[in-house]
Amino acid sequence: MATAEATLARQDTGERVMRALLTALAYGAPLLFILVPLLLFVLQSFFYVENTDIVHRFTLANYVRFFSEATFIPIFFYTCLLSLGAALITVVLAYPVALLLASLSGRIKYALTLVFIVPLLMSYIIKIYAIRSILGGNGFLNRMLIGIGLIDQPITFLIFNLYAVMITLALILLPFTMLPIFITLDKIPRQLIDASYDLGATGWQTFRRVILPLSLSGTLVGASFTFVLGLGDFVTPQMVGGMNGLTFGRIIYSQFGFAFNWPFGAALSVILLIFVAFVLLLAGRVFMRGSATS
Amino acid sequence: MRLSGPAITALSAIAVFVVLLLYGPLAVAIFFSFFRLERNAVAWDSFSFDAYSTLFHNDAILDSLLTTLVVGLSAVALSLVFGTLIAFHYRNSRSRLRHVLQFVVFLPFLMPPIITGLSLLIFFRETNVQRSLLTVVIGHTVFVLAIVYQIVLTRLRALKPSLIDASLDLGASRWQTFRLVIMPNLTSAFVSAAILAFALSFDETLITLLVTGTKNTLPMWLWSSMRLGFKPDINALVTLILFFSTVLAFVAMRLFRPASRT
Amino acid sequence: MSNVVELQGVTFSYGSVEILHAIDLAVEDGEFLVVLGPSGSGKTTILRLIGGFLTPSGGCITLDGQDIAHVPINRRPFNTVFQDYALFPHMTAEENVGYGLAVRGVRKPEIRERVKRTLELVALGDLGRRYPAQLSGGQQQRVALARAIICEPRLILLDEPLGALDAELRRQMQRFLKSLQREIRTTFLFITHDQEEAVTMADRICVMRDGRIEQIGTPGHVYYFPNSEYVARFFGDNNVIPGRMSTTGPGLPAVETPFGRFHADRRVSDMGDGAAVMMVVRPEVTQIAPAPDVSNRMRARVREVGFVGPVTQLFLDPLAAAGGPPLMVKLPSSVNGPRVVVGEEVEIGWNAHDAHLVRA
Repeated sequence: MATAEATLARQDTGERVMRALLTALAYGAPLLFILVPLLLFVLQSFFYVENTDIVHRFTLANYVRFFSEATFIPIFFYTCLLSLGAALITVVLAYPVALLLASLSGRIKYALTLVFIVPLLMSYIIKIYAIRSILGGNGFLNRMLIGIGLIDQPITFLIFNLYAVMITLALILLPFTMLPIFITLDKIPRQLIDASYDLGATGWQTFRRVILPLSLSGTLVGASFTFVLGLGDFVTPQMVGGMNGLTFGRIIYSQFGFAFNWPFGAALSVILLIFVAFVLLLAGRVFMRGSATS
Repeated sequence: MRLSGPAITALSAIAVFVVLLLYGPLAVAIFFSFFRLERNAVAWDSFSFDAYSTLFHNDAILDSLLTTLVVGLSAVALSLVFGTLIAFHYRNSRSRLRHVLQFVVFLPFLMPPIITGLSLLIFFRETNVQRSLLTVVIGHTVFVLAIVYQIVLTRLRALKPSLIDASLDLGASRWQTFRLVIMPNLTSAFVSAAILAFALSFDETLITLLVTGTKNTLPMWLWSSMRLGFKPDINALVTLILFFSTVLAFVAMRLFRPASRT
Repeated sequence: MSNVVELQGVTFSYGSVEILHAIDLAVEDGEFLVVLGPSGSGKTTILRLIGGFLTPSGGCITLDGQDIAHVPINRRPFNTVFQDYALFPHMTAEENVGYGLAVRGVRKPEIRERVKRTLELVALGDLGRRYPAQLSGGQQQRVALARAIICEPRLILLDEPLGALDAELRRQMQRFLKSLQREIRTTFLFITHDQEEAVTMADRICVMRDGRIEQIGTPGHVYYFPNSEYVARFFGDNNVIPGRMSTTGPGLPAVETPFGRFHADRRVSDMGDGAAVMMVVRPEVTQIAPAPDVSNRMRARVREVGFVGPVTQLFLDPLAAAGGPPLMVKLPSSVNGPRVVVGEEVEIGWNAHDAHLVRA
């Protein structure tokens, strides 16, 4: 009897130790590899570089430099505009497609949804590569145009500028925007549309007054996906932006490579992070309001 | 949702345009893996698999492909273990800290990848960890963890608590309940999470670029060789990757579908 | 009385399956018509065809004599109360109710005025600013109702609107709907699978079965004079006794059954001797120890006694042919308990004019 109780007690402690261990792991890993790096990274933005060494001493110089030097704020501003533009393009293109998909049913819906989802799983770098191989100076489009005699010299305004970056970002991120829009549209109960028609609304009125407001939250999520990913990207601008495609992401990246000023790069990233957090919070607020009523 | 005839026509036109935008560039790449441009015109008689044979003799590509697979599988394994662990903790614990934990897990997914990459870069430098394949694996794991966690948690939530009560009521221990009742119900969630995590890892570029050592993953190799110009064997590689990712997408969709039935 | 809507030979097929077979139905102006049937009987299809959500595969639907086959949903002067209410989640109760007016371009002050009046009519005067998610099931129900009546449609279609409510609220809403209909004098077409609800609310009941109309009539008529075994059984607890016509000569028609020879007061038209029939007897008119002048009688043994509040149900096995389904008798309950005990042998009986014959 006594031994049985002892065994039970031992099992109990065993289980408790196991539990504590698992809980420690559940917290430990994300803490160590997400939170600690993030804190170190924020901390780094308050250090500075002397010669090629990072001096671990507190300074606000990096932030002062961002606000005082004339180059950074304009670049930050038009990077925002660029990402906003890319987000707008994706919404304009993705919303109609999502609406069409949501209006379908059965096999066609499934097949067509797949057509628009598959690019989501296709390599990002490959898409940039493919776009560049079409638009580039020595690219497919130029060579074809020269080939059929429309032009003698390659057209250069197609690539290596900010418009090319915006369009490429929009193309790459289009499926990201489409997916949340499609999901919210698809969740709108059919009965609501029926009810709207039943009450005398036309197709357009139903869209304006029922479908659009109910899909606003998903549209916002999709657009902010694209916006945030566009803001921080440095590979796309480098690949299709060329010398003229300087974006905030590239400036940050160059601080860690070419310029070798990590603390300043970190400061720039912290500014980006704060801005992104602000945008996401704002979007989240609207999203919450959208879903609280449903 | 029903749409009127003209509305469907207009939307279909836009949809066709979008399909052209999404697939056009890829189609061009695929096309030029089989054909060549000669004197600024397509040489229609140049059809060959030369690009593919060049590709299979390019050790650098094959090596980076292998590296990518190793990194992907490691990241999948790690993120499955930790994602599941954290999902269970979130489901079972009543501690307020679990919301904080969830937020931290979501961070790398919410932030621009450059920030995740940079913070890891700084972290490894401050802790004197050499950049290597291991740091890449950690970077990828951190990035896909949120997806795995979310998928597992969603399935855990769909599990009725009464199922667990029933198992305990029938005399099973907690461990037996976990093994015999909970795990079998999570299998399909694990599979979908693994596929999605692998696809994300396979494609990951921005974080990798910041934490990679000397060994290249495929996107790294593509990135560095693309700066030199376009070669048919890259087109061949692109074609193969597109083929396999399409297959993977189909498999994933098939798996996601029955999930909605449960 | 004139008809608002008429269905003439309306059929509806889904793929190769015909769901409705040549339905003829006239909805009279101002009536409360209940379409009653189990799920899959086609009752919701009828409602959706009238509402314009579905297009008939054959036949025609007319409004005031005009074919409305090609009139789209949003042009039909009918409004629907949906099964799950289908309230717009992003609009307040007021906005929901005013929706039909707003999309018709009615001016804002008038909308406000009419919404206010309509909300008062459904006793929701002070909840107009709330969103559907902030309202209880019964309140949402009233908003849906207000939204459907505000445009003063010719016909209001209600698709099992009370299904989601609990029993007490359901009875309240039944009375409320009835009084509302009297007040606004509009035609209601109400779908339900609940025969008690149908009897309570209807001016006329239309009983559906497998895509056909089985019987149409006032609740009393359908209740006491079902025209088929199906309707007799659908109204719950009828005793249905199989037999054959065996009348000779004048006088009351007689039926030969396994329990004996019984009389009914009316024969089924065009039924000759030997034809298979069912004798339908309501349990509440079946008597225990019947008076001497009761012509239909038999001996039976009490199998079960069940107390269900106002009535006590007795289940009895006829002695003449034991083993079949028992017969039921309903007696008013008494504080002293039932007069009979289980196992007791009693005589039961019913008058010829309480027996109703249907084709087998």
